Amino acid sequence: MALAAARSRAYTLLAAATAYPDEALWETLADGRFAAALAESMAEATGEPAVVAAPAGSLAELQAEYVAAFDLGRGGPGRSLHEGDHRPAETRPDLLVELAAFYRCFGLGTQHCTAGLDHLSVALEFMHFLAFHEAGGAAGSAPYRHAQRDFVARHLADWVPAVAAAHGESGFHGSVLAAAARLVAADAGRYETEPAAPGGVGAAG
Amino acid sequence: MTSSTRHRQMAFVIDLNKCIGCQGCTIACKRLWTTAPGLEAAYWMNVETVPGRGYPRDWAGRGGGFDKGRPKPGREPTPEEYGIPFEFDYSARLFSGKRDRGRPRAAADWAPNWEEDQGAGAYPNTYFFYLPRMCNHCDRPACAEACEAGAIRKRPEDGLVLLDPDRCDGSRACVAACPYAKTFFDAAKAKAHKCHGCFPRLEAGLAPACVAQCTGRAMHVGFLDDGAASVHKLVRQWGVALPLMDGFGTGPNVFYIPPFIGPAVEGPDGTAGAAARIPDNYLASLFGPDVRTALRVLRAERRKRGRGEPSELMDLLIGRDARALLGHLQPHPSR
Repeated sequence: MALAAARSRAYTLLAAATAYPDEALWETLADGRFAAALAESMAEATGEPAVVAAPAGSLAELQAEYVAAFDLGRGGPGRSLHEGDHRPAETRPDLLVELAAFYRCFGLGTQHCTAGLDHLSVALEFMHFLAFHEAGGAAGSAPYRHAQRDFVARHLADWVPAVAAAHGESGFHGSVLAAAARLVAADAGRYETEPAAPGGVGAAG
Repeated sequence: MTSSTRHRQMAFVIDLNKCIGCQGCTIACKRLWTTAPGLEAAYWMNVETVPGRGYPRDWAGRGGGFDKGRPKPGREPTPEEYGIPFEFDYSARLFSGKRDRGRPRAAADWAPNWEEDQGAGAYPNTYFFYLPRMCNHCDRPACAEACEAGAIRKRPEDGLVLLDPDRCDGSRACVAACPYAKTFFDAAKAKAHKCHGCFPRLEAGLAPACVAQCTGRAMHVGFLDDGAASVHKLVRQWGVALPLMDGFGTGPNVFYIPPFIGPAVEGPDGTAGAAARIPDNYLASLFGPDVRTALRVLRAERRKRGRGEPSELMDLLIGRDARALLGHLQPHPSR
């Protein structure tokens, strides 16, 4: 359960860092709490701490950097944070339906999801949610573990390492993407050797 | 004896494999019959997601119907169990500059279809299906037996259970007595009301609104004793259409084709097993022990059709010709 808790913390930090930067993120970046928390949780989750490059300048500059890197023309080839941009265009509707079904299966609504269902920050937040529940319940954790395995295999492992490689490790966002890719790769490797337990039928939905 | 004096029974069959939960039947019925003030929360026809608590909430556990042939006391649903209709304050946001998202009142925690697509089971073996519910026009209607004013009768020519508002004394006994919670009370008029099977349409040779509107061709209607009607074939000949919770003892005349198509249970390695995801035991709790036989028949006939062999049952259920589902009725008035 300690591993799940650490992964849960790492995923929520990475989710915040891959979303459009806001005041709350900036505060924790400025006083060093973000870097410390991510380093600690990544060390527990992957055996190696993450080193995040401190952003220079102001929140406005970080926001401008984010827009330039990811939003304007989706950041150049292979750099978009939307999973749909890494798949054939004609499959995007199916992808969105699949993602919405994943989220809905665990009671998560998508009506406030302004970034887009297939945005990396949303996927990482979902992994945080699943890992959090895995960490919290010994008896009922199997479905959450099973879902993480499937979500990593079907989605994150397919495209996050490639985005991180395309972006490079420089700068705040580069180092965050590198950490995300490392966490996803660690999860994917672990699930290959440690299959999830089957989800039971008949539990209350 | 003329056909108008024979005791006949109009019946409905709903194929749960084809219902997509679009609520077309719900809205067709609602728009036609229950738009008056005071009827906001009343849905003669509703589609609920099962497993779930349903509409009104926990309707199946309120009592009513019969126990060993004797009337069983029931409880009238509360307004909260129906779901108190709520409005979103759009105008304040559009025209008065009020900020924040438009929300229903804080206490909005139930409404018809509140649990849409929720279901049961744990990932990856979750399951649900849609269950359209309407008055069952029962052989032994508990609502009619409970009505001391004699306002509810089962008419012989088609077996529809009709409520005469002029004779209704507003006692609400029928509301408490119906185990399916399909008799309602109109507080504005102090009268009970219920589905009348669209008898004005039937008398004009038209299918009930819910059936005519069903975009998935999931609903059949017709006389149970009409050998040519699909309802007769599905209920009497094939035995694959079953009543809902027959244990209430009222003899329902709405029948359901149980869900027999769907994903299988997924194992730990991600491969599909042989067992259906919807547990047979759960289906038996809704449709009785005969559901196991019905499922066997349905699956066997589907396999036959899959091998390219003819299957009258599959042809009936596929319903390529929408009119074949309607017995002697027409879907819409001819122009």
